[in-house]
Amino acid sequence: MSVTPMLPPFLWQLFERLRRRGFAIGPTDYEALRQALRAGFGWTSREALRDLCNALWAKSRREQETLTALFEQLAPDPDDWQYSLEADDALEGDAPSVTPESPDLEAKAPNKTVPKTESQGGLPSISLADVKVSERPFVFVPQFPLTYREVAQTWRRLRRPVRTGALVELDIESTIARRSRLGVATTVVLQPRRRNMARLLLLVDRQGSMDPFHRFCDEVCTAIQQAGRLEETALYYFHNVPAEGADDQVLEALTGQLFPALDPVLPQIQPLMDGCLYADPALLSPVPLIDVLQSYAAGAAVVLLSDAGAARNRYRISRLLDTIAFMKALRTYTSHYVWLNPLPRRYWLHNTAAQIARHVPMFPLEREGIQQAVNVLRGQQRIIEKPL
Amino acid sequence: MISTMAIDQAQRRVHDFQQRCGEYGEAALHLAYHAALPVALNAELLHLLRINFFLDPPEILPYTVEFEFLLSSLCREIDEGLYEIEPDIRDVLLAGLSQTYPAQRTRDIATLLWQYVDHHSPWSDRMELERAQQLTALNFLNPEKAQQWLVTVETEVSQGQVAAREWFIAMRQDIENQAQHLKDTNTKESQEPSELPTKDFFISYNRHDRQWAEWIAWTLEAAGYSAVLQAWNFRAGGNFVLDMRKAASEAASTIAVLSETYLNSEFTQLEWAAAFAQAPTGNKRKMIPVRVKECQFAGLLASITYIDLVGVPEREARRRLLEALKGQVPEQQILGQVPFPGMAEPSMLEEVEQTSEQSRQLEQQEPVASLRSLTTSEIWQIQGNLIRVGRDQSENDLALRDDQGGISRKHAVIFRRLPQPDGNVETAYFLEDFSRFGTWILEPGSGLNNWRKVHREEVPLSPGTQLKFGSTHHNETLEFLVAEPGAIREQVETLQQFQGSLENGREAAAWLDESRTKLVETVGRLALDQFPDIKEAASPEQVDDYYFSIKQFLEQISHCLIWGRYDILDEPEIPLVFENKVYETAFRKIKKRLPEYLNEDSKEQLINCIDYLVKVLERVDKSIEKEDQNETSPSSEAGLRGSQGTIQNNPQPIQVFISYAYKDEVFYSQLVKHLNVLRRESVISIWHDRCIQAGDEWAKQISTYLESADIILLLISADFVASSYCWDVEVTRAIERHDAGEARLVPILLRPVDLGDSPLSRLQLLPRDGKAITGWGNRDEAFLDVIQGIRQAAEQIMARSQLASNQLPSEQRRRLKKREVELQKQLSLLNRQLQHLRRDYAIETNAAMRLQFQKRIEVIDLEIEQLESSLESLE
Repeated sequence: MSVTPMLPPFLWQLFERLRRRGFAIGPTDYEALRQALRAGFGWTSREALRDLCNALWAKSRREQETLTALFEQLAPDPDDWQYSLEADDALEGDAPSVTPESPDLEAKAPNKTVPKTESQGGLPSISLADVKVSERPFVFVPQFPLTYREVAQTWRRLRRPVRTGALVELDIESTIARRSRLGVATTVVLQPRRRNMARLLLLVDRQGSMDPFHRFCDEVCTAIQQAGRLEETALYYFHNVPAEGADDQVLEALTGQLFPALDPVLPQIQPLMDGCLYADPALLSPVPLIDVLQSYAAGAAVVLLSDAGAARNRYRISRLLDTIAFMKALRTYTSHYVWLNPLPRRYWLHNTAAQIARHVPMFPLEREGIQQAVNVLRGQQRIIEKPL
Repeated sequence: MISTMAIDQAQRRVHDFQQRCGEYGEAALHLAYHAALPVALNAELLHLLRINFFLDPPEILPYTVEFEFLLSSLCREIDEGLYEIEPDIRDVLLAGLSQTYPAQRTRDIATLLWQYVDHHSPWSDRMELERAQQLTALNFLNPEKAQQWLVTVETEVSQGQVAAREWFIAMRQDIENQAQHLKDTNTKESQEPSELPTKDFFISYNRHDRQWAEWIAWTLEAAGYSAVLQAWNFRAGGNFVLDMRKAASEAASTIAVLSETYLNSEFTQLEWAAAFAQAPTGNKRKMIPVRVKECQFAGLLASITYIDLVGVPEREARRRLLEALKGQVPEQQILGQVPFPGMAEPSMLEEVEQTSEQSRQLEQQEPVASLRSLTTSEIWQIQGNLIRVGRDQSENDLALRDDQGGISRKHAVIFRRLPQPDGNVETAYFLEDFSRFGTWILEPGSGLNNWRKVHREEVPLSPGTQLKFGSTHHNETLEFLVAEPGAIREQVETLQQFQGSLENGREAAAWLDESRTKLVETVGRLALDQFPDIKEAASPEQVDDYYFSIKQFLEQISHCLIWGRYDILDEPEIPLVFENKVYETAFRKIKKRLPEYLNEDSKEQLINCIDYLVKVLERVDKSIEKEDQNETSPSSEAGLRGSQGTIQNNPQPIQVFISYAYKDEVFYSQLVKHLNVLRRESVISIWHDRCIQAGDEWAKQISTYLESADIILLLISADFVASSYCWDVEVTRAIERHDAGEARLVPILLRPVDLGDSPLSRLQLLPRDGKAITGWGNRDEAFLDVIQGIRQAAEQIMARSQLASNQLPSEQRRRLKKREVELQKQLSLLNRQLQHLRRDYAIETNAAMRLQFQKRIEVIDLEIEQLESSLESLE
């Protein structure tokens, strides 16, 4: 097999689509597939090629799922499988492109198991037997602006290595120093292993305008919790603002403005810790805010995940005031805090988010955004317009 | 069942959503079509719709569109995380779905919905919702089966379940409704012949040639063709290239509006490609190039024959175009709604005989309409008979500031319709609003606040109408203005008149410059001859100065004439050597010597200038006289004097410092009231006070105001005297300054107190006679007395400071100087006479003669004395 076989053209389409869906694959991966095919793998059947692609390109079960669905969409029909490859070879890659909008599999009779729902009491089940359904395979794996891997990788940079625990690691420096000082062969010096002592408190806005972002936020939180390798990750939920009921007397000085900024009264705003966080995403089990702050916030990195009023594009001074009062309270525990907004920056204009972003480092929930957020949590200075 | 009103509203909301999504509005709308299929929606399902249908080209949507859709007015949250699209809107969207996509897409979505509910159902605890979704999916896949299921199940379910019954009713309605939709779709699909083009012509052009393209489109449509115009029919934000390709492929032919810019455009190249891909040989006349501007053809285009409209009058252009397109299209009477850009003149004017070049240019002037901001006075001209107004710079000709409320991305257009040939409709402008919140308009003459709202309609605009785009009244007001050709002509005429008079003025100036030296000599001499007394007294230098000053005046006059402005003369700044009347006579003589060759206008201008100058001189003279009479009072001609540049009105404001004891605050406030009068008269300007409390320790230092004050008022009472600080420090310092002549110390006796032999006792106390204020029957009278005393002191200080700083008005100083010189001369003359007389007296022996001499000596002595005293007073 000295002749390089032409790759079936749909594979390039597949490759492009996977890249668009955040697969971490590059030219070398495409080359790997080419090499594998040259070596004779994946020629026997459609499934063989699919498995080969999966083996080379998919790095998790979810990616596998996505890849399979897309492969099914793009690959030519199994019946003329052999034929299509031959035709491709003959045409030297000039095969007609297969578009998903007009799959030629349509005419095929359903060969899968007939979808059917079981009866669950009240209403009888509906069966799709004998109904002509679309043969197009669908992807049920969500595609968020951030992948699990990206979140995990970024968040691993949040590290505060401290040597604690049992003495298990050899301290060469100290050992040499001690031996040269004493002049006799002494035992080696041991030191505890480095451990990441960074602690994180995640406060996540739920419900209301955050509803469209629930799954995305969950994904991000899970990634941080599972792969962040932090000493401790606490996750609590709130609705709109973590603390409510700030003294709005300070606002009296701002009367007469349509969209007042808090700058003139900023020093007068008192820290506010009244309020409840929730331990569950459905906001059913409240926990006093002050307890959470005391147990988790002191010296920890704190991340607020909320749209800050940007989704509905509203400006509410009370929300702004409560938020600022809460942030002041938070400042008494830690100076490492950031705000992550699931909305891109262009949505922050002219609403509460824009004002909050003037006082609190706020970043969009995107790759660059979380990078910068972690930088701030690591202690990097960030210039904001009007720090608290 | 559903009123057209509701559908209209639904359509509006759908449109709003599309507008709001900006650049990807079109694709977002398509996502909304997809999302309308399920009975209810959650974020996850919407996400799946997006990632399955809108992640790959041609339609790519970002993540944010999901929340934009869910939080838009299209959806409403019916439960936690569950959204519903209102029935009316859903109908509109589903109709859109079936129109935009083939039936296969509907099946795809239904299958996706089914699979989602089947495998990933978030509603497993909500049977009814789950079944509703499944039934909907089934209904789109196979309506008969859905109906069948519904019928069988309905009979099975027990009658007692109210909720279930309601569910059935709702579902039945829904299913029937959707079945109707589906039927519509299917019939439409079967009707739709895939190959038949929908439009006759697609007009491809570069935006610089918009006028041409519009004209061609109108011409074609008037001739009964249909045309797609690139700029008109494409919604911005959609996939431009895709739309273009689609339109180009749907149209039977593509008309390319050829110009240099067109050939260099990227988009138009794509259009070419599409057209050529279908008919590369040109035998189907797929591609029809129309050349509107000079340009070079190369490559593909070189082989094509084109319709040439360069430099052709409108009628001929129309004939060429239509003939070339079909060959035998009869020429129709076309109501030219879009002006022919080649000539920019309505066709009726063609026959009008053009008499002169100038009037032809004027006739050609289109009415110039513009929008003017009433806040910033910025003006936007309406070019090409159309102005698009909106929020976005890229899509509009006039982008409104986005800090204003309720302005849509594409808010409105103002456009012009040309007059009908029958003359029924005048040239008129119209406003068409397609915004979300509408536009406020205020017709001229409809009252001050009679704003009317225009929303999604077309209204005629009359000149002078004020417009506010957007929802609120706080938005910037724009005024719509039309300058008709007539008005422009008037303007031009006025301008020309002005220009002409300026020319005349220049001629007069030229004459003046030419004959200036001669004029000055003759006129100056003649004028001086009329005043022999002045002539006698004048020294040769003075006469020279006099001629020079006249020359300067004439220079200024010619200046005025050249610039067409009299105000140059307001500040002559030329010193007058003799009295005003001499100059006046001189100028009057110039008026009589104007040459014949100057036309009336030039003469008039020159005369006006001279008259004006005479007036100015009179005014200056009067003001100086007035000043001589009253040195201190502020003159009404202060402005003029000020303009002479050397006079200061009130050089140093007189500062007053008041020191008093705390106990005497009542007196202090009364005094201040009375002092206000002086301040209003600008006699004194400001004051500072120092209230001293008993036993004050806080400021053992002299107030800086005490150091700078011109008048120091001490309010004397027992408390004041008792205050050691006042006494020791301030009074001492005040007396020091008083003695040094730097300030006037004015002690005011409030209450009787014995001052003993303190330094204050030797100063004159106020009120007069040292009678304390409390001792006066009427306290106001006492204060009046005090104020008069202060006024005197202030005036003295003012007079002295003026003398000291030698800040007399220059004119006055000059005169005094002159007078001084004269007096000195007389003095020396008299002294010489006196010497002679004394000598004669000494040698005279005759007694009678001696007596005579003595008398004369006495007279001269007296004269000398008088002269000396007047000299003194001058100094």
